[in-house]
Formats: sequence, structure tokens, C-alpha cells
Amino acid sequence: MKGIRMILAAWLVLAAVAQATPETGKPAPAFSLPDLDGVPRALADYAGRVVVLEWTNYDCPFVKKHYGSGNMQALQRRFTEQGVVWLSICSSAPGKQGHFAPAEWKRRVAEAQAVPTAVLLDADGTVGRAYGARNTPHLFVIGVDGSLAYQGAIDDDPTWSPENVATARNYVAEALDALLAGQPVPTAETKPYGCSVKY
Amino acid sequence: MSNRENAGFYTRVPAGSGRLIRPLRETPVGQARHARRPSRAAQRGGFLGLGAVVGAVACGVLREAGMKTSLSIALGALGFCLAGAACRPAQPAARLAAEAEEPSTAVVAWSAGSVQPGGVVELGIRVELAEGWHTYADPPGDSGMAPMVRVTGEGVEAGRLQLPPHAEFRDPAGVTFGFERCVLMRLPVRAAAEAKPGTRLPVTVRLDYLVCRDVCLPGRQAWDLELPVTSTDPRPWAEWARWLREGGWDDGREK
Repeated sequence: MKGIRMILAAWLVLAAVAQATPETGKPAPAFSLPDLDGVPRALADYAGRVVVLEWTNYDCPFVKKHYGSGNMQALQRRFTEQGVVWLSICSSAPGKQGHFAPAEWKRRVAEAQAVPTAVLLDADGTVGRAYGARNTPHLFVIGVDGSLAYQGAIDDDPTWSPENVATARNYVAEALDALLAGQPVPTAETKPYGCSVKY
Repeated sequence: MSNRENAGFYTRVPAGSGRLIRPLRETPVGQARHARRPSRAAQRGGFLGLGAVVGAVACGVLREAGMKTSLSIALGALGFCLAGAACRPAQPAARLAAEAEEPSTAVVAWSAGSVQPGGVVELGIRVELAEGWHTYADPPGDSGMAPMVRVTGEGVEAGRLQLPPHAEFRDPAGVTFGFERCVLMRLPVRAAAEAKPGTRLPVTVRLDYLVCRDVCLPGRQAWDLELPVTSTDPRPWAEWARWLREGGWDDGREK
């Protein structure tokens, strides 16, 4: 009986872990994280707006591909100008690649000329795990109703080669264009690619 | 003899830092130069001469990484000399690569010294990895990147890249598939039926790959090669069986 209870407990734990990935079409998990000035930013603050969550690690080759080519900055600029909220989230644990103190983060963001609405620090990985963020880059798009409209890769080129950016099919741009036009998102889920998130 | 024939088509340069060695896309294949082919003197000098050429290339690459020139030359040359000793666990070459902060190197060789018109030869791409590093299979799993090989050349046609059985790795993203220490990637290359015996077909190969430990580094290598066309039976390269064995293929036997 004790054995069965143990197995059941283990199963429940595993089930909880498996459920960590939010379902597309369902409400996006609520969160609140500090930005680079230490000001808490909650998802609820942006209710009624389209929100992009971009899991990032500036030293990951796949992230470098999109910042080095200017692709990520261009997406950030193009969509924030249309009222989209773009949150770059870093779940790298202290001591792991991509984890910086806020001052260093500000320097790196300026250097990259990145223009997200905010960079949010998730050093204990709570929000990353709640979203099942697996890779950098790993992107989530939340619609005006607060439901998850897209999750997955930034585009269809699972390499670190920056010269492929121009010819790749960008799923995030497609999803955002559709949402802003009041249309259904053409591809709601893809397999993300990149480095592992450094929890 | 076959070894010597192949020596002209054997290069070694440090990898794992994602530097573009030369912009191959802009090089028209028909005019592909063969800057890295050793001179006649170097061929006569065998490994020593070739080592110098390769050392120079290695030096250039390492210098880009901000290393001191003299050290780069030494490491490049030393790295070359240890080529035969790499790909086995706990060998000096692996330690050297780690000390030089080069987690991997990639080397290529043909399986035979020549090809007949319409015939097939294999290009072996051997990636050697320092202790603790791995590269990826295709598909790579929950993170990482499958190796990408691009082959261009007039009168040649490349088949599908073949990889040996892979191992499994765990990282925070989940499970990935790949290779430690040494992997031989095999690419069948067919010469055109119209290829003329006595000529050499220019073949340009580019490999993009990724190596990871706790962090990941991109690797890009490019080689300008020549493939001699002969009417007689091509001589197999003497070291091919060893490359197969060390690179994860069963006991060096042909498939």
C-alpha cells in the first residue's frame, strides 16, 4: 500500500511537471518579474494588449544569430511601434551563461541596440518553468484576450547561421501580423530550437 | 602511396568558435582557388610541409580569437602533429584542444585517392571533441543543431550525410542526441559520368555545426578540395578503416 502511494505521488509530481507547458488557446500563466530597474512588471499590467515573451540568453549562438543580424531588434521595433508589448525574459541562473547583474544587462541591451518594452529577470527560473521555456530563443505570443496564441521557434531555420535569417519563415511575425489584423494565427505551435535555457 | 595521394586533400584547422574562414558563398565554383593545397615542395616534405600550411591557417583562426601570434603558431603546428593521436579518450590532443580553448576540430579526407567517371567516393568529415564537449545528431533533440554540410563543385554531386549511432545527453531543455570525443560524418560524392580521367574536380565543402558543454559554441569550417579522376580502380585510403572505427562506425567495416 505504501509502495502504491509512493508511485502515485511520483506520478502526480511527473504529471505536474508535464503540465508545466501552457496550452495554446488557454490563458497565459500570470507572472510578475523585476525589470532592469527592479520595478515589478506583471503580465496583468498589459491586459488587453498583445504581448510577446522572448526567452533570451545574449551569449547563446542562436540568440546571437538574431541579434547579430539585427533581426530581433527589427521585430521588436516593428511590433512595439504597433502597440505590441515585447518582454525579453532571461531565466539564466546566477553563475550560468546569460546571467548578468542589472547594470551589465543595461550595457548589453544598449550595445545590442535592442528595443524590447522591458527586459525581465527570472533568475530562479520560476516563470520560465511555468511557461515550459526550453530554449533560447523560445517565443510566446499572448493575444488581447490574455490567451496564448503562439509558442515555439522564432522561425523555421533551426541553425545558428545568421545568413539564413533573411530567407527564413518567421512564425512570430506571422502570428503578430495575424493578431493585429484580427485574424487567427496561421501556425500556433512549432518546435522551438536553440540552446537550452540555463536554469 | 594511397596515404600520400590523400595527403594533398587533408587539412586540419581549429574549429568551434564560429568564425567564417572565408566567404565561400561569393566564390564562383568554377574559379575556386585551392589556396590550402600544399605546394609541390610541401607535398614532397610530407607532413612537415603540410603541417606548416595548416599551422598557418590555424594561426590565422586563433589570432582572430585574440591569441598571441607565436602561441597560435605553436598550437596550430602542435595540433596538426597530434592529428593521428586524437579521437581516442584521454589523449593529449583532447587536452591540448581544451587548453587552447578550442573545444573541437574538424578534418576532412577522401576515402580513396581518386574516383572513376560516374563513380562514388566518400568524403569523411571527422569532428574531434575535447573532453566534456559534444556535437549533435540529426535531429538533435530538445536543443542543439544538426550538422549542416554544403557541397559545391562542377562535375560532382553529393548524397545524404550519414552519421553513426548517437548517444543521448541530458540538459535543462530535455534530451539531446549526439557524439562525444570523435565522430566521422560520411558524405557520398559522385563524379559526373563525363568527368575526364587525368583531371581534378574542384569540390568546396562547408560544415556548420554546434558543440556544447554547459554552453554552446558554433563551428564553421570550409575546405577547398580536389578530387582526382582516374580510369583505373581508385586506391582506398589506408587510414579510412581507422577513421571509421574511431568515428563511431562498427569496427571500421564498410557498411
